[in-house]
Amino acid sequence: MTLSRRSFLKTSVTATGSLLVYATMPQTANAEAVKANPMPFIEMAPNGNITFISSRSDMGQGSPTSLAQILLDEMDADWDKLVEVKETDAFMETAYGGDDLATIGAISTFIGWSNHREAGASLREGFKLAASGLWQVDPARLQAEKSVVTDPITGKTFHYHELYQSLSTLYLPKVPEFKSREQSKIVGKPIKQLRVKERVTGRAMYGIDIEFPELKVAMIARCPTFGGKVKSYDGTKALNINGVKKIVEVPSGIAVIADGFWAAQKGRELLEIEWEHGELSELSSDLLSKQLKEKLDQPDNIETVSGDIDSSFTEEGGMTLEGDFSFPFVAHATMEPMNTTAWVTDDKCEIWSPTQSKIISHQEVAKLLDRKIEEITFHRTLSGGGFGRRAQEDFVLEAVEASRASGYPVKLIWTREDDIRHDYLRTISELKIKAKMDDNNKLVAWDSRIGIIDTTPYHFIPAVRETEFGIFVGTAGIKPAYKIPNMTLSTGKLDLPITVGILRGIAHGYTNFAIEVMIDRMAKHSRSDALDLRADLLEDNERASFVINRLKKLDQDNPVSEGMGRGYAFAYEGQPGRDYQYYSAHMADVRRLEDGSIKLHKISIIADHGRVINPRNFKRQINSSIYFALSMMRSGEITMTNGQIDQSNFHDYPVSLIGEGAENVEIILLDNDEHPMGCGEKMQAGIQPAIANAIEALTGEEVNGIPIKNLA
Amino acid sequence: MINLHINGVSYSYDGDEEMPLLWFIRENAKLTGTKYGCGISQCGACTIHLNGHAVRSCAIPMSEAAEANIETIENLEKENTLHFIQKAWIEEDVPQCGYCQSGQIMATVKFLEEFPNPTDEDIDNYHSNICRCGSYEEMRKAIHLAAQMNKLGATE
Repeated sequence: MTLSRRSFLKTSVTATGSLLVYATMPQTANAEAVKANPMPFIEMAPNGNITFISSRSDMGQGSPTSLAQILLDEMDADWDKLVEVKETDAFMETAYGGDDLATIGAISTFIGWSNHREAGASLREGFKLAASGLWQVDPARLQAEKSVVTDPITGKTFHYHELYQSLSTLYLPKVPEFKSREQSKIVGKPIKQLRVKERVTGRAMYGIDIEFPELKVAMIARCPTFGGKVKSYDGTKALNINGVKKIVEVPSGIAVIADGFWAAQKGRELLEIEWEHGELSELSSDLLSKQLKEKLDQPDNIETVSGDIDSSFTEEGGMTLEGDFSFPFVAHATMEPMNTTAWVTDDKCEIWSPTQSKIISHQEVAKLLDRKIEEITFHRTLSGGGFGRRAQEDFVLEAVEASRASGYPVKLIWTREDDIRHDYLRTISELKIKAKMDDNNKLVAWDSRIGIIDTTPYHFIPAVRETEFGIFVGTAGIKPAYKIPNMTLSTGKLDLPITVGILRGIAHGYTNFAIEVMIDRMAKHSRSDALDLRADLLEDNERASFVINRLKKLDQDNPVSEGMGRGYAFAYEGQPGRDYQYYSAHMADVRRLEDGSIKLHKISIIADHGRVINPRNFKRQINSSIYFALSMMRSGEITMTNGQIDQSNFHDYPVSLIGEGAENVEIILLDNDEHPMGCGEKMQAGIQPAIANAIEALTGEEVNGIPIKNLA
Repeated sequence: MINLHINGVSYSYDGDEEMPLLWFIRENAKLTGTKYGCGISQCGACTIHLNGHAVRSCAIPMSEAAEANIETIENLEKENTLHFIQKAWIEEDVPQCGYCQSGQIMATVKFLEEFPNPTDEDIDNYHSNICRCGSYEEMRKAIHLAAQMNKLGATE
């Protein structure tokens, strides 16, 4: 569908004399929509300094920098004049053209490539138009570079900030043309991250740093058993603690309101609560695994993707392999535990939250309080890590409840123990894949079965919780890109009151793990080349084939050394014809250390995530994703006994320290002209199975999931 | 009554002596650069200098901070000039979310006093602060760079 595209800019002067520039996405390019829901992109000070307004959450993944690059490049602004980043105050999905600003799924770059480019191009042309009016010349002959408009015939110039008075409401006849790759001066450059200085001086303000005189700390005692609730409580002893102000019941438990963290924590320890532990009080991880395994044979949903697996498995000849995989619950453990500050009074509600889901959380607060969204002020703060945990709105609503019930403005703080025990965990899962190769070593049948806890009731978008799409959180990535003539995908789910959600790469960390381990095993058993086998199954997909063939060359040029095991993996999302696509090919070499443990010696990654906005950030996201993957594979195991989480903190849920990564990393970014994609969460899908396959190659033993106890 | 000095400023405290120093720093002295990450001395996000030693302030009760001289991340920058380790951190573009970085930097100040020419092995063995984002490779480069800058006398 071709929209009638016209671009709209609106400016206003802020209290400090800066120019605030709004632009719209084409879908909402009408004056009324902009008036109601401005989409702020930048502010420009009278001296030309620029403040970038970040639409996406900043949790370390680098989106604000990449988005500023896209905007400033297209508007021909001077990057050196970019002095500050501010969080957007937009609160309606219509503000950014129906975008809820949820910072998930590598969509910051994906969507930003459209809306920030359009805004940037509109601004560039707007400045030219303003200059042309003042000079009475044809705007088409003007040039813009580094925040300066030049008339090449007269040699006259205007700095952007000299034009800002003239840049009032401007309608441009159409969305201007975008720059070519050759014309880009900022996109594609290895620019350092914005906000780095505030992060090395302690000045960066995270949610947990919010402070004002009236503010109290809230801590909630929640039932340790999933699905349990408060039967009765006595807060008398807690109230005796100096600094404890109030004890109130909230939907998730009993909240202690105190002057500070320590008093709140001591008060919470002294609460006398009788819990009603509920239906899960005898549930354990082992029992869950057993129930999920049963689900593999009694699925709730069977999707036949192609052909008929039953007849192909019964056909004579060929080779059939079966793989069984188990993955435990995994916790996010963001460095900054969950927290939110809320101040609810009869006529006012103000929130400060380190959230990945600003607009949805804001909407949910409005629903909870039965107030209009514009009556609630919602500030998004920096986030100390996210990994998907902050896409849920639970901790925001808890703070609102605690403030409403107590009458105090409260900073709700989760301790690390709360964070591990009341996470929206990556679901525990069981997978069985049965695959068959014919006598010509062609993969002809694929029977994939997965058992998970139903993710639907906990989907990070409340509207999806009622729909069939909610299961996607638990099954994403289960369908291979490989062209297999007979393929069936079965899903079994347990509907339980266990909060489960997305964790850095949706479900691909286990779904693609199982798929890719099976492929390397099929290659090994059929004595085929593992990369040729993949390339053969992907021949209809040009971009997928390309990354595999590029890895094939790297593999041939660098034969595996003596004593090493080598494994491969392919990862992808999307499909040809869509903008949302990425492909990557991974190769891992592992070796045995003297103490018998296994070390990741080298990992090589070929990534086609379309055009690369910032290669420096892309590479560091990969470097750090390797550490994250190894944390999960080594010790990322959350277990349950009697319906309660056994782990509580970093001593029993350890994560990688420095040196616990790969000994060598090789990253090849294809950086083509396809639609750009982020990568922060995407690498888990390929890194983990490549390492698992390398371990199988080294040891000859199957790796049937995580954790892998002897991984160094 | 406990008296202590943080970044050259004197404070007194007459509350619960078991309260970890971390909360005095964050809530009483309002120095929020020092972070809470685990409360059990595992992650190092709360690392500060106490009488010249890098310690994890979540595990130091107020009773042990009596008369102590404490330095936090806010005191590294002198007269608008960043500490050379902060400069190295910026040069290598280390922080991702940044939440752990105050602790990482405060730990590195003391690490480099002990290991002015650290090897990778020294870093692996003695740098034990958690960065959940995994900014470790950039951090390693920054530690080496800081060591070089220190040798060259870029100590302002």
